[in-house]
Amino acid sequence: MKYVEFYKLNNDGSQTTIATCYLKDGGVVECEGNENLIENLKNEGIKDYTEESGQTKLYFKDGLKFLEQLKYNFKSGYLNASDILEK
Amino acid sequence: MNIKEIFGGVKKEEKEKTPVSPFTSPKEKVLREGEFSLRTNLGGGINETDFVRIEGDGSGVLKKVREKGCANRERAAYLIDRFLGFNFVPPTVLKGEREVLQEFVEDAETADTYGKRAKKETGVSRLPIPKDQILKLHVFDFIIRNVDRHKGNYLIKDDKIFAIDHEFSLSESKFGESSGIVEYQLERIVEMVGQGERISGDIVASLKKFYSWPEGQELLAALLGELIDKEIVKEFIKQLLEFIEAITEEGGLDGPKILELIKQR
Repeated sequence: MKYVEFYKLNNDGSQTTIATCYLKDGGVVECEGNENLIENLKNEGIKDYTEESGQTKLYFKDGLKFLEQLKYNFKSGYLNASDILEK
Repeated sequence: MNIKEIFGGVKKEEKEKTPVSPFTSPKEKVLREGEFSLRTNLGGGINETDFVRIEGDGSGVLKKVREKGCANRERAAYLIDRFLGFNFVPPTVLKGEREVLQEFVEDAETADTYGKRAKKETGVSRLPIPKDQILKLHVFDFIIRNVDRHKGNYLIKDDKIFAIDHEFSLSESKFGESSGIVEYQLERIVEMVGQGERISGDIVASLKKFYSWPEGQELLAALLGELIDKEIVKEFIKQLLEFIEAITEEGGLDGPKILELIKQR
């Protein structure tokens, strides 16, 4: 199963995994973990950086494309998204 | 006149002075010159990012970005922030061709994870992000033409916003073109002001001060000119002054001037 993890940076430089988004059967994304983050991802979506305008948003229903774009949206260091992982 | 001057060509030309920001924070020196006592590579994201502990003086986030321009724009956004008095951007310095080091804000959360739920978990009483802070952030983003603001790239700590990730501000490719996102930011400012929100007095005063400070404008332009294309800097200063003109002393907007700005973009 394909999935992406979110790493929160702590004061000592360590990172904690606070949420994980999975690509479920049917091509829809489901997330578990930090509820504020998940609520925001669900309601507000994320930017699609492959779109020139930068105005297109992706949501859970966009499946793999949503997962692929997470690491471009979460890259500050404070909260990073992983590449797509598989288990 | 001495013999060297008589024969000419030997008189040393005065070295051009490197412009120095009057708002330079002591932290910048620490970031620029401090030794790292710890350097940890962070997982995730698209940049190669390290957390660094600076010998005896705080921590930083060190990003190796894809191109030099991205690092320069991070530094440019910080300089503009300081000159205009927003105080959103943590001290940010260049560390080489494509590396940028920014002071780490301890105990801050990205807006994405900030919310009521955390209040329940930690027992800490927290208010929603104040609207005047959000409006101030829209104003900042509009000024620096930032096309990449979302809840993942601003932090909250003690009800204060810290703005990070400015790789896509003052973007050369999009600057001067009609960027929907920049228009969106102006629309949001107009909308919030229309709903009765006002740009905070401290920022209005700071912007107006900059407007009537030509030496400061020249100095900022010189500093930015070392980082980004000079033509872009010229246009940036021109548009900034036009925008400041459209802000009223009370933190509202001058309708006709704003309409003119919208028409131009």
